[in-house]
Amino acid sequence: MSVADSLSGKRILLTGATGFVGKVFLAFLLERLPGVQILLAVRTRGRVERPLIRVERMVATSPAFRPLRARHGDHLGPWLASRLDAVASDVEKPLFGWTEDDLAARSGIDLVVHCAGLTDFAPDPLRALAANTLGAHHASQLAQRLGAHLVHVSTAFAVGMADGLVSEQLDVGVSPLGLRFDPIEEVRAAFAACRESDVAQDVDGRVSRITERAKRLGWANVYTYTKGLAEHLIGARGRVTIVRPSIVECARAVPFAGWNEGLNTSGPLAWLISTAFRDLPADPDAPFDVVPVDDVAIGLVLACAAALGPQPPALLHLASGDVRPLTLGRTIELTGLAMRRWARDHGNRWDRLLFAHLDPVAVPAEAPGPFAAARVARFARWASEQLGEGSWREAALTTADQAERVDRMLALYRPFIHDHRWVFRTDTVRALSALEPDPDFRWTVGDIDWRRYWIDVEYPGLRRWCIPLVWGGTIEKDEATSPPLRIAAGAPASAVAK
Amino acid sequence: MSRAYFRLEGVLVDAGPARFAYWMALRSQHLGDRVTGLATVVAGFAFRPRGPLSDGATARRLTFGALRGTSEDRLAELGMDYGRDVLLEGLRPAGWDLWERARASGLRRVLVAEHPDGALDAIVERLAPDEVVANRFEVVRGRLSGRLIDPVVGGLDGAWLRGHAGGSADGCTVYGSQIDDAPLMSAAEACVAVHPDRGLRSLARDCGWPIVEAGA
Repeated sequence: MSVADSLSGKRILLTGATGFVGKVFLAFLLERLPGVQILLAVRTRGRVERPLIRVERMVATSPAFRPLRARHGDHLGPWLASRLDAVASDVEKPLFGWTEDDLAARSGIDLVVHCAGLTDFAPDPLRALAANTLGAHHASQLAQRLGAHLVHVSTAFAVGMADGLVSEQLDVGVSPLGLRFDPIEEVRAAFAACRESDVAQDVDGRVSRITERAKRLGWANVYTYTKGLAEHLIGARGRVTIVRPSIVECARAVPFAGWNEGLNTSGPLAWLISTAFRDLPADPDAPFDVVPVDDVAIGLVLACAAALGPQPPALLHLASGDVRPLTLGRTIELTGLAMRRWARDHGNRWDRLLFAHLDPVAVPAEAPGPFAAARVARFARWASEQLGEGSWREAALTTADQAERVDRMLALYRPFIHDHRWVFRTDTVRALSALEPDPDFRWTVGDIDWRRYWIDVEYPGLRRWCIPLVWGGTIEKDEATSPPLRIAAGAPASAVAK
Repeated sequence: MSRAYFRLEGVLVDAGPARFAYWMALRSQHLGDRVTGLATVVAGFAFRPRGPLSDGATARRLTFGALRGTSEDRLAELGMDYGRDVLLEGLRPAGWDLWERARASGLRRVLVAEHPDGALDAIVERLAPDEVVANRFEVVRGRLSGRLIDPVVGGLDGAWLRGHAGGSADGCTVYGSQIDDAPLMSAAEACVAVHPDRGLRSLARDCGWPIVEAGA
């Protein structure tokens, strides 16, 4: 049976539709699966805001929905009204804060797809525990109450610091370092650690404390720890499918080539090596497991269809490393080549000079070069102390601040680009894809030409949609439609406006 | 069908393979590789093999050894730039004119290039040859081993020409410009020395081969 047949007539409750993966998944459902009804769980500002307002704003201004807007024009509002609805939800509250009446009114949900979560590497642990860990727990509880199957979007790096070939299995209650632990007790202890008096008002202190806890169990940072704990909380329950994408990057085709949103893994790294910073502490032979966001959407659709089948998978990876490996060394070189092309076409004289003559390279973290960020920071800090008040001192301080920022960023990335080598098995998604007759829903990550993808799609996409965020710039948004998009049955928006 | 074999280097463009090797070596990813690459190119230029190794193939192998360790990605991406900025910009009018005449005469045009195929996209797009014979690098795990795959262009001879033309070089015309092209030219039914170097010019005069000068 095809994916379209499996999901036809089904109702999906989707969380995190305003996020990067959620948007593309939603666009996919809307465009390619006309038989699916969607209920969006969205957070509202107070009780008075209509949940659909946030959806209307998102669909009207996000580039992810350009193809839909172009196709339906004035009729988009009524068309969307026939396909989706929204419900006020807070994933950080039990049952998303729904009342018993809400639950009764929302019966008939077949699937809960939980995409909501924080993706920063070092967020405030209190927020991350609430959103990533409790959010998944609440989604699982809600799915149970609704009699629905839960598809939980996690991350491949929830596997923690266990190197090697990663199978699609979860040993609930066993940490990445092989230590037995009670997930519920661990979550309680983590919350308690965040509320201890010495860090209660100190976010950095909380990050340090929770990172220490995470590392003791085998997770590299707050993000993977909170996502990992979520898996252990819900993994033992029935009717749960955990989907683990690796590093989610620019779209290949949907909504359009190059689209990206927010600051994800490659964005800051690409920014870093597009500055004068040339030496990236990285293991050149380590896999850099990247998967385009629209392939993640396809994988999610396949997972959803399988979740409703007779043998729902418990866990599947959406990754590229086992069939189409890309190494960090190659990624760094491709980024340098892409920058060279960008500088030739768009850069100034300095850009052309720099990128044509100095390529970024991977260097071992143990043997940093003379221009390593930490050394530059120390030197600039020392220089600022020697200099009197004036522009030189200001320049030294600015350099020290920037170099320290880079050093902190590299420390966050180090487990993923230097210390560990993961290869995630993708047997399940490939098996599901092999059974799928519709080419629109096939897993084709194994066919990606990384050179063409990185130079023609990924780097230009990062430059346009991500890198400006690093230096505090703005990202283009689409003009809101006029008259405003209103998701409601009836006449097209223009007729209503008249 | 009659065939016209055009040597890219010298006949159609100025740049020789050493220029490509130098150009690429100068753009190696690692600074150390630039130094060793450039040194290899210079050594290949200065050290002209003698005796049984004094053929063009050995010279090419030496020259392209400079690119050992270069990634396939770099070769493809920078080769594209080189093809556009150096080869296409350096297209010689007299060679282009001969090429067009061969097209108008309905000859099957074979572009014979010592440059590796990765650098030829732009020129191939412009010339639209019926066939391209170019040097190819051996690639091991995404990187050039520094070795060329046989047959190496630069050491092509009459046997290769006859094999390529289907057993006989009758009906084949070779347009060459260097003394290294002499074995190929002498095996063809007809040949033309285009912008010839000193050795080929002398040979062409002795053999009565037509000579086309730059700007002719």
